[in-house]
Amino acid sequence: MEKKEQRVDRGTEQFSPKILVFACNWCSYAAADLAGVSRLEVPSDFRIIRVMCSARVRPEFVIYAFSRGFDGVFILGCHPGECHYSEGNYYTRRRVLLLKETLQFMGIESERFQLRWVSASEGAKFAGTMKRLIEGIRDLGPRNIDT
Amino acid sequence: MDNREKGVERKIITRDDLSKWLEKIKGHFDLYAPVRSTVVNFGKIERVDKICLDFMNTFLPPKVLFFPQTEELFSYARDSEGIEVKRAEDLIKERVLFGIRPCDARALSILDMVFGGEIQDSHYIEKRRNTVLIGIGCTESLNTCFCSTFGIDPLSGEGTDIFLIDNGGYFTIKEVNTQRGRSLIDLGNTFIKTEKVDHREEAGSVTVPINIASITGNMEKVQEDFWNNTSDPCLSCGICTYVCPTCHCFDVEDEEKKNGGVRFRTWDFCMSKDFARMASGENPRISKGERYRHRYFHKFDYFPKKYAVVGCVGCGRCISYCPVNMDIRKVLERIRENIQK
Amino acid sequence: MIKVMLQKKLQDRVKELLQNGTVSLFIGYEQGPGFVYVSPCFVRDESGAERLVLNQFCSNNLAGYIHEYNAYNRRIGICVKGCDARALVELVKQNQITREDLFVVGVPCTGRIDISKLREEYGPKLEEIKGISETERSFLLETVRGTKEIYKEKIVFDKCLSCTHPEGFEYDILLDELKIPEFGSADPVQKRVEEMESLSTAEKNEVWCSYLSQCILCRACQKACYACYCPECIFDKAYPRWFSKISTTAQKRLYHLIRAYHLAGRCVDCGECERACPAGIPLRLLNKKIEKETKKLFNNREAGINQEGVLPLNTFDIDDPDFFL
Repeated sequence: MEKKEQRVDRGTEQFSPKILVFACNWCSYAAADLAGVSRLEVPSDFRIIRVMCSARVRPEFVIYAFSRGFDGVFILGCHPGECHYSEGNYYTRRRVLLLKETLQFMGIESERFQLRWVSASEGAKFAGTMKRLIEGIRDLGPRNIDT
Repeated sequence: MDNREKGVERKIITRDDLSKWLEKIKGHFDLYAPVRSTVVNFGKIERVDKICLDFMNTFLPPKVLFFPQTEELFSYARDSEGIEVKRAEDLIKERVLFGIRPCDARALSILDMVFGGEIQDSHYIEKRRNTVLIGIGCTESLNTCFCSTFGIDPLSGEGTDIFLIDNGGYFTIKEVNTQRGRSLIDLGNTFIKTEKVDHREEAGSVTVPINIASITGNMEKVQEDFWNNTSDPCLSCGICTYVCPTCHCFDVEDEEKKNGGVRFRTWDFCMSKDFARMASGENPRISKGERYRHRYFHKFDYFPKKYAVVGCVGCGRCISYCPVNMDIRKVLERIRENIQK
Repeated sequence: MIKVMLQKKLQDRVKELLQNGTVSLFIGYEQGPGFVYVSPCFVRDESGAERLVLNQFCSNNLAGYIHEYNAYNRRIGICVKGCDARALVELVKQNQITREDLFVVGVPCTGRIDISKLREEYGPKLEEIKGISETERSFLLETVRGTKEIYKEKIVFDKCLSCTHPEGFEYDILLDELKIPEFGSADPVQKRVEEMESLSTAEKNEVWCSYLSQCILCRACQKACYACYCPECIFDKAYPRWFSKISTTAQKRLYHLIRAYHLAGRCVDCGECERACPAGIPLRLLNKKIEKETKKLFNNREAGINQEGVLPLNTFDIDDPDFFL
């Protein structure tokens, strides 16, 4: 029963979103590396923080990032069943599910916070995912920063 | 309510004219007055009809306008040439605070001793200097009020520039104490009339004073057990400190931004566990009883010893807002009993 | 009359418990600055038992004190109503105390009175109220100006309108049969959650900003909550500093968001946070939303109802939904 989200009229101004990406060391960070080595085109609006497992990402990291002005926060992890530490990404999935709803409820669009599975060999998927997600953040527009 | 019998000549202003006077004041100054949302607080007035006069006292005391909860002290930025430090702007537009109660006016004079005494705090002083106080007397009181304990007269405008008394259909201008007050009265001279009225001098509110004789200087006699047992229900939250008009402890921190930052001060509360914790990890007030004891000592022993006045004005906010209904009056009574034993 | 008997019964039992050394500390309620204002009461010897009261104003959740007094007292006696017992269930589940270290006295409850609602119905001079009794549907307030009757529904807490008790909880003493009171209307908080969900993001922001603008970060919600027992709270940590003391709307939102998230699956909806808040912020709204989501997403039963089970965020299911991908 959500009201349709207002899309920002970008007009001619190019909005460069500030995006933070948590990438797990064994899968998604390797995929990012692979995308780079393969000279795939990836937008440059994001900064990566490498974590050993996507489960390392505490909800505080995400909320803190939003409070500091990031327009989008993404977590990239291993596919379910392929976590280097067997189960980490299952916990991540639960946390993200709940955190998305909570953020949405408090006025931060849940589309700004995303979780994707990217394995180490999926360089192209990394590039494509980042392109699509960042496009989505551009559509949403800059966050309504409260000071 | 309009009891204009034979009586004394007084300057009065009707309720409607009061709005017009305040509107005129708003044209020259920033106007701050009580506004109601979920609670009543002092707020900057854009529209005079938003002012709430149906209140006993505000949630946050007037100290919030002179000693804000967060205040920038200075900012620093690094550029190619070095580091630039910029002091925060102290200058503020002249403003009028309307609706301050006698207890809060006394509290401001207590804060003046802290922020304007040996050490001159320019942030506070500048705001204080640029604010005109229009007080309203208390013709009623809450049953948590005990200002009479400290010699505060609910119908006296001590510490204010102008002092009004609400008589229902009209306000009596009981006192005009300063030059600034007089110039505001001049601003309203088309609205202020002089009439013979019988205003409620006699029917001021009566608050029950508590006996705090001989507490200062004798509190060391109270046993440690007393503090531990009395403080049992305390949650160690910060409500009593934040709503107290005389509490003034603050923390200073830096907020880092890219290539620089801001140093700010912010309210702090001594009831929190880490308040007295030192960088080494030592904590001289690690137990709740010690922290509770400290609060009472600060207000009723250390402060009067240094400034010759007790650090409490009897506004009763700490009693009203405490989540577990602790009562400073009861504790003081029991302290007195304990000392006399 | 029944209430007076129960109060006497409680006092006598507590005296016994202290006399024979079953408990070294009993946590109950005593009268505060006025009949309608009660404070938690800590009784350590028999003479103190006379201070205990039991009436429709005893609303505090005393379970919040357990972790503070746990280290130095064996056993701790505590009197709880049905909703508070949920907090005890959770404390045991979360390994904060063993059931054997608690001596639980169950207290019957037909709804506790919300002082702010009472102020609206009765008027500001609550000091006039000197006594209370009740009928099936109303409270009869004995005041200096005579008896005033008010429908229970109008002045009980919102949470009381949809009362829930933990299942199969064994009280060591049950003062009287525990019944779940029935009221004509339901707790409005669920509807408010749905209303909030239906707003657009910009509108939600506006609403939360207006609520949060009143917040003074006094931390009373945290201290009143039974579940906030971390020895070093994340908001007090200096390194890494997640929470800056700069009192801006962004920090207030961060505070409430993180705290509510930390309570996911543990909040028993005792309402203490909202009751303790001096600025009237509707904190139950956020906690209720999280409760709704954990129920929907993880099949998690309400916290405090079941004595078995794992916290929802401490576990996972291979088949957890991932519709967001």
